[in-house]
Amino acid sequence: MKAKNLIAKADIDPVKLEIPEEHKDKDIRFTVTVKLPDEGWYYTADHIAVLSQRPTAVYMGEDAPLNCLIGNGQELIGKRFLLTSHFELVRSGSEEDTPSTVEYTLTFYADDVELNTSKRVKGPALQVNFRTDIIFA
Amino acid sequence: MRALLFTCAALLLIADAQAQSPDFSYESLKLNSSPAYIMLGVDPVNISRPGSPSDFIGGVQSAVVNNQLQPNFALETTPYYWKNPAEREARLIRAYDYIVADGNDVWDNIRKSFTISLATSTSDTFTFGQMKKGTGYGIGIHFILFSGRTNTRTREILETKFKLAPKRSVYQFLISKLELNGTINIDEELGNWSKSIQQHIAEKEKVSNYSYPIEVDAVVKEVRAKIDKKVLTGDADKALLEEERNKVDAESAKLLKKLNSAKVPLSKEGFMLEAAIGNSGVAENNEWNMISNAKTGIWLTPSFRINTRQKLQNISYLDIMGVIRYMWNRAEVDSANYIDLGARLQFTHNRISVSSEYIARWLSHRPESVPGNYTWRFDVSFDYKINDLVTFKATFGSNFDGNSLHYSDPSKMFAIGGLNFGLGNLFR
Repeated sequence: MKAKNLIAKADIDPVKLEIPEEHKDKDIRFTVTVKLPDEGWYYTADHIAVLSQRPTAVYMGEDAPLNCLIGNGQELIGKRFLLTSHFELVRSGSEEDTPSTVEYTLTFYADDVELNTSKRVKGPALQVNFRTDIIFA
Repeated sequence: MRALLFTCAALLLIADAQAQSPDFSYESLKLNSSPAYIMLGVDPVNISRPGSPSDFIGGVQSAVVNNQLQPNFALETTPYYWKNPAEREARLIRAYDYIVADGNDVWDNIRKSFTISLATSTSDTFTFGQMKKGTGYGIGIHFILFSGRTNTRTREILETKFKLAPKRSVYQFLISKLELNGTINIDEELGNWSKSIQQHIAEKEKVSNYSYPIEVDAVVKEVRAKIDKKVLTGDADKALLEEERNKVDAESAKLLKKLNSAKVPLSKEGFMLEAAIGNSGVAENNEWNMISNAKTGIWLTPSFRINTRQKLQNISYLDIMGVIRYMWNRAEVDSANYIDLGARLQFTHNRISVSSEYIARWLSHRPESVPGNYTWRFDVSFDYKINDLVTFKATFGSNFDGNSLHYSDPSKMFAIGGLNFGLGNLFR
């Protein structure tokens, strides 16, 4: 069963992501996909994911996280997960001065089973931020 | 009687499923000098500067070859983008690609640009000699060995911008940790950030944007000098961190504005080198059991791009290109093999591109019945980009005169006119 999809609204306040009982013994992972719909625009990126009670980052880097492990489902219950993604757009080839929007898709998996997919679109702006604040339940 | 190899191609229809070129958008629509087209002898342009690879690009065109309308179809695909869908990888600006390797990592260039080219066309007796008429096919591969260098101005701006990346990262990390925990020990969290970023750098296959060109320890020291507290707690301290992060963002915004004042700042310039191998054959009488190999070719295309713009808002380039090619022919196609040596000069200013090419072809040996062992191709091309999706193209000139079985001087004119249409969005 898919979790109720409130993650697209997780920019400000934390939302719950329920891990169904049958998936609680599985590894919870996440993937981010970034797309610029307009041609001739490129970007730099900065993604940081942190988890409560874990000292180091779950993920840090310029590449969009791909199938990145957060932890075992059972152990994540009650923990808070915060993912921030920052994009800066560079024009190269576009005739338009208005930057492309940024389409940001975040998917959570329990092993290979999709738990939740949310899609957000922001911009047009040269600097765009996405914030996802989740409490696993 | 000598026939025209090309007269009037009515329409060029090109579809690209995710062009990756940070250049003028019409460059990504070119399928002109695909190895498969060249092997079939229906190439609108023989020499062109290598474009950035795409996961898929296809095109149909109609050409008149040997006085007959000859529709043909070609497609190209780059396997690298099958594994790495274009939207994940291709538009991310990496320090490695634009500063560290900057086009000189040969194996990385080959891996990313290795492209398979396929084309089909009705065959004619000039291109394929004594082989019976039927359906011709061309297959080929091409890959970039050297992919050009980043413009000096762009490079300087990107270097400054990449220096800001770890600074932003550290402030954002501290903000996130403060949000999660309510209170943080700054030395402890700076240590956690250092471990996280060093782990990221160690895991990266190529040099990370964070590790170039700045040292992680230097960033930690800088942050420690600015935040004169041991423990951070509450909204006031969060606001302090956000202020520092916003300062970094403001500095980066200035650099973005500077970078974006040019139209194609990410376009590569300088020396590029592409290699290609192609093969063609004919299904004589359009029969499956009469498919025969006809020609095989191997060639190198060196090119050099000079940025000639006077104003940042302009796109202005002078491209000098060359080709050296050897083509083996089956005896029924031609008793001789071909050695091609050519050059092309192209000037591009905003929407207009004018170019001319000359290619000399020598026969490896001259049969007694043939007056000479030398022929040539010359053409002048004009491109006008009507908008991001449509480009008008016209080419006039003289083509190679067939082969040693039908040799005469290449004195007749050919003309190709058409429109290129980008249909990439239909595939997304």
